[in-house]
Amino acid sequence: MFSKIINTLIIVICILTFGFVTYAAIAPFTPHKFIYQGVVDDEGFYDGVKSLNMQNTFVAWGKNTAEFGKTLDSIISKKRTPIVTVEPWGLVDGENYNFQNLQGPTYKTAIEEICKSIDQRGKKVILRWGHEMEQVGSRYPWASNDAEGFKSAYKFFVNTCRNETKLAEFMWSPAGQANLVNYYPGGDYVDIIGLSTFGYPEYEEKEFDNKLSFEDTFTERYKRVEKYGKDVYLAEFGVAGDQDYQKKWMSQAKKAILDPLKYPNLRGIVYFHGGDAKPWVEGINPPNFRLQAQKVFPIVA
Amino acid sequence: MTLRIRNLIILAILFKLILVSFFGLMFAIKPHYPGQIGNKPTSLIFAFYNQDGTIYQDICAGGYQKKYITESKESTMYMAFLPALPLAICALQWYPASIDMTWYGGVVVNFLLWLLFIVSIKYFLDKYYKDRSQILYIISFFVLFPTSFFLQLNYTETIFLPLSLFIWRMVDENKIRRASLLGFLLGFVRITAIPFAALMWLKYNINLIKHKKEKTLEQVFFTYRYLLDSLSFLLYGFGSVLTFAYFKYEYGDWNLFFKSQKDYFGRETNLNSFVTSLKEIFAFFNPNWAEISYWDSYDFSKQLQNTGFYFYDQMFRQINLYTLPMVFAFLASLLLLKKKRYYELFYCWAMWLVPILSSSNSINRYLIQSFPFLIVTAEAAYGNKYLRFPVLIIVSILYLLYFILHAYGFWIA
Repeated sequence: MFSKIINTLIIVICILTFGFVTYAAIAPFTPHKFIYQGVVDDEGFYDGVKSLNMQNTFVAWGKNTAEFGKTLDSIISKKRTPIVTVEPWGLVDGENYNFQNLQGPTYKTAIEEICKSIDQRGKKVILRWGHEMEQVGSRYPWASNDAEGFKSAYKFFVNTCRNETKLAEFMWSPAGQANLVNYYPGGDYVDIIGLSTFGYPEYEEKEFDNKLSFEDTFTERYKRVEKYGKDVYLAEFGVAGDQDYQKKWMSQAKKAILDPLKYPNLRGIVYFHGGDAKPWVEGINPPNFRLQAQKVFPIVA
Repeated sequence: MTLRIRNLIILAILFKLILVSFFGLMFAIKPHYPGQIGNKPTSLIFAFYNQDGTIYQDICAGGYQKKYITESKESTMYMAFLPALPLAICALQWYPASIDMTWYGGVVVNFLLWLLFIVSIKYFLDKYYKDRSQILYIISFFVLFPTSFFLQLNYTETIFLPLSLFIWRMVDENKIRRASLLGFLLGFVRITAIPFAALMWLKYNINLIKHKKEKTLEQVFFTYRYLLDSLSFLLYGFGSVLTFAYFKYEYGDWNLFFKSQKDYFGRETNLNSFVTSLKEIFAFFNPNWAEISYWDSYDFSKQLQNTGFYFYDQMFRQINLYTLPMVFAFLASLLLLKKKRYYELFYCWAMWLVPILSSSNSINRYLIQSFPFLIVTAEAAYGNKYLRFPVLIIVSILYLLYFILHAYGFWIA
């Protein structure tokens, strides 16, 4: 009798082991660190894709509040969390652009309108104010050497918004350059860190004599912000080039992103489905990050 | 006259109480030593819950993903270890909320496993020894062997060793499938369950040949029972395979266990680590400290400047970590050879070779898994009335020394 029980137990263990091992081998992998996936997609290319749960949209503050509300509604209706990249352009004609002025009453009102609009919708929104601020000399006036001024204005934005709504989370979003540390406003003002990473083979060959993989670009940037212990999002990422190049680059990116040990704090990725009107340096084509290869994004179906 | 298990358990409980009281007193008198790692608070629990012993508690508390801070930098790491010990800690969480979980894993669960060890070694020795005093002596020697203090800690030895002892005797009694069920559990404790299974299968075959009596080899080996018994040894690996499958299912990576070993301990199993291990073992004979990169990275000399343990320098560490265990292993091997216990000799070296080849820097700890070394030495010491008590006193002093050093955060094994 006892040996029958033993034999039965052994058979059960064998069946369960083989069953589970086979299932683990063939089951589609759902990442343990759930990766939020989203898009920048003004063209509506990804509108029907259900596995996306975020959408990044660019808004210049102080513009049409009703229009802003419609944008939020549109994203929320797709069951996605809006990431609103708030671009702090100057609003007062004739006024010098500096961070002190960005804390004036006009801007305070602009912030309050944005945040009231979020509160009215009752859904979480991620606010990304003053992105890529450490890329001094880039296209944005807020990307300046005045790191202290930036921090002060960023905090002003967060404090003002927090008075209006509890539904906003705040993404501090440098591009990922080495000087980003100067612009970090402190853990109390940052819920999420956003980074940008693009593959642009023409530009890379011209600037670095070599095409760069996702890891070549992103790893260094990630390491610069990992120390802050916050969730990291790829607030903008994309790859230009021909179909084969995009496919290869995205395949490597997918492997690295889903590797549980490689970027453990990376929680979200937002694909930039769009392009730039101008090339990043003279003499090459402007980048077009729209994916030509099908099924390479979303990386997890 | 037999040694009663009840009496042994009472002795084991007393022993644990003495240890707890001793370290309680020690920390009350001298709470700090610079050997302590990180910023952990000094307390009695530090004696029992220290170094890698914290990992299993952490897995139970927070899962396989751990956030940690080093030099004010917060990072995340996967601690993809085998689950038996964390599960044992989690499964027995019926303690009142007022008890700190650290105490629970470090002392309460360990206490139960410590008693399991006492039962297992008694069960093991009863099969091979009839003399009550000899059994008590061997158990005392085993318990007081310098690196046996790991049996008092939150380490996997506390499960692996008792299960191994049970299995060994069961295989000798030809209860193969019962042993394989325990072997299945063993696979959840350590991946060395796999070489252990191979060694037990070898033992099973040797036993069959030894006890075949009038039967031909064909009658022994070409049977349905032999096939099934042999196949049942595969169960020893199932625990580890299931865990790897879980890692694949949950984290998308069959190899996460080995990656964690590399990330956490810098441990890699390849030709380089084999060469490094050999260099470390023989470094005493040809010292080249720069090659022992692991220790260099800790910069112990700075830590030791203000400690009372002046003798715990690099030479002492080398002797303790590599040379003494080697000398002991060779002496015990001679004893096994003299007694013609070849299988046990083979088992000891085969089991010990696994940590050596995996570039572990605590090979003396793994000596206790090569338990025939300890048993044959105790047997020899017991057989010589002049050596019997001096040997026990020497191992006791070393035991206490090792335990104290460990409690203060020194990497002693």
